[in-house]
Amino acid sequence: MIEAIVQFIGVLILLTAFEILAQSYIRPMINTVAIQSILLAVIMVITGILENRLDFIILAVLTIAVRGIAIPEVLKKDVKKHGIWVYREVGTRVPSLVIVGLILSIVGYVIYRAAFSVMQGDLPFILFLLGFLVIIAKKNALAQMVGYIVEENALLYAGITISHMPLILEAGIFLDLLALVLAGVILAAEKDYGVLELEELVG
Amino acid sequence: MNLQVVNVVQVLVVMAFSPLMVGILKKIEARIESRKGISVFQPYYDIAKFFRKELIIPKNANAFFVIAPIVSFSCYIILPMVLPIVYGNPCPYAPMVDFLGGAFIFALASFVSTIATADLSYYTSIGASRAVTFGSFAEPTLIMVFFGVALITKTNNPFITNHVLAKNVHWIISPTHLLIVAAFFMLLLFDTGKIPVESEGLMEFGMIDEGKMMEYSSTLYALSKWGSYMKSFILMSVFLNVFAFPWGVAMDTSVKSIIFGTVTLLLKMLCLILCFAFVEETFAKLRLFKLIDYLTISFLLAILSIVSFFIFGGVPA
Repeated sequence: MIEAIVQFIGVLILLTAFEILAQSYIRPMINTVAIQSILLAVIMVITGILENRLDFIILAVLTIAVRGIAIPEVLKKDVKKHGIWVYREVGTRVPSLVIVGLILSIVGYVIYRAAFSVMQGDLPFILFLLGFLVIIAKKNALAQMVGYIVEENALLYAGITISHMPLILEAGIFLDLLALVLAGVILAAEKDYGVLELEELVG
Repeated sequence: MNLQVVNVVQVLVVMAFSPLMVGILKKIEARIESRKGISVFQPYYDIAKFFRKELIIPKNANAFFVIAPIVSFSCYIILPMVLPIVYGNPCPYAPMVDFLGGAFIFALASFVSTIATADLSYYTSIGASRAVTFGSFAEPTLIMVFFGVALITKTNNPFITNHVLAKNVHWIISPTHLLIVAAFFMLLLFDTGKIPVESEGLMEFGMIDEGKMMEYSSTLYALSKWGSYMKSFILMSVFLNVFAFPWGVAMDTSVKSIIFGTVTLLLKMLCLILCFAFVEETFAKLRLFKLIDYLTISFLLAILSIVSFFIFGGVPA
């Protein structure tokens, strides 16, 4: 029963990734990634209780605080500041993007199974690929940041399903993300012409 | 009760109660919108009125114009004989078809109505071409849903699927099954023309099925209309009895259990109609070219159900 619930939440996390892929408005995209992080935290709590590990619970609380609340709020503030991002990504191609995502998930599953036939890490791997796809397909920097958060979520998810990373590493991932968002926000504050555009993130 | 009699009972249940369900849905929606609404029996009155009207056949109608409504109506009479509507064991004709066979009979009905109306007039050809365009995007989802069910239950037969799901409760909460149910529900909204799609009604920008009936009158119109009610009823009972809620189907042929099966079917359908009313009152109509996005999402759910089946190594024990 509990296994079925964890599996179902895993599929829901995958669905949120597809929702981010198909969504053309920025604000719902940020809300969806917050929901994804909270779902991940629920998995962490369940695994933590099952395996009797306190660090998973701490990690879940951190995840909800940082990815579920803090980072989405910061990003949404940015959406508000630059009116142009309130509206939408230009030119969404929902059917083709979803089909590409589906092909990517099937390919990801096949590759993962070919490489690691024993370990149950397909879902994080597919999520990781979908995060890449979000970054590639979206033109808007905020949307790309959302894609980056999806990837970090995938790493964390892999960490709790495949092998148990030490807490310090997981905390490191949080700091990574915070630094990225901070850099984005500082860039946005420095300039006034809608800084968070693609050109700013290209080297 | 003889199995042939059960067959006739299934057909009669579909013919008799399908307009009632439409009336109930309209009434519930009217009450939600604080209107008094039409009587729940209004669809019956409408059909009776159409039968009494004068029959007019357009000058440029092709050979299929007259026989199309009759053929599609007969398809909807045949389908209850081969699907679990109120009785959960195969009736005499059921072994002839599986899920795909049922889908073929549905396809025959829409095929004849499409070729009858494709070149008739402006509105009918709009309806026919739209039905074909969007139908081609809806079919892959249907096929994937059948594949998903076949993976879980190792069969492509609706009766066995019903039995297997009713016996294994833990399969019902598996992600594979839940995603299949979600995908089929989206398809059900599309096929019955409910609001995110709204293919019924006379709005030119959205009409699909109604457009095909534009040139029909009298008996032929009544048969098309009644046929479309029966189509929704059959699809809804397949959704309930095979996918979403496989319990409460009559398992023996005694009069008592057949009546029990009919009553539970109608109760289940009332719950489904409440879901429909909720969806119709809370969602907005999609623009016509956005329908492909909608159908893509249902396709996504169907494929993910199959992917999740393989990821988790089958249904949970």
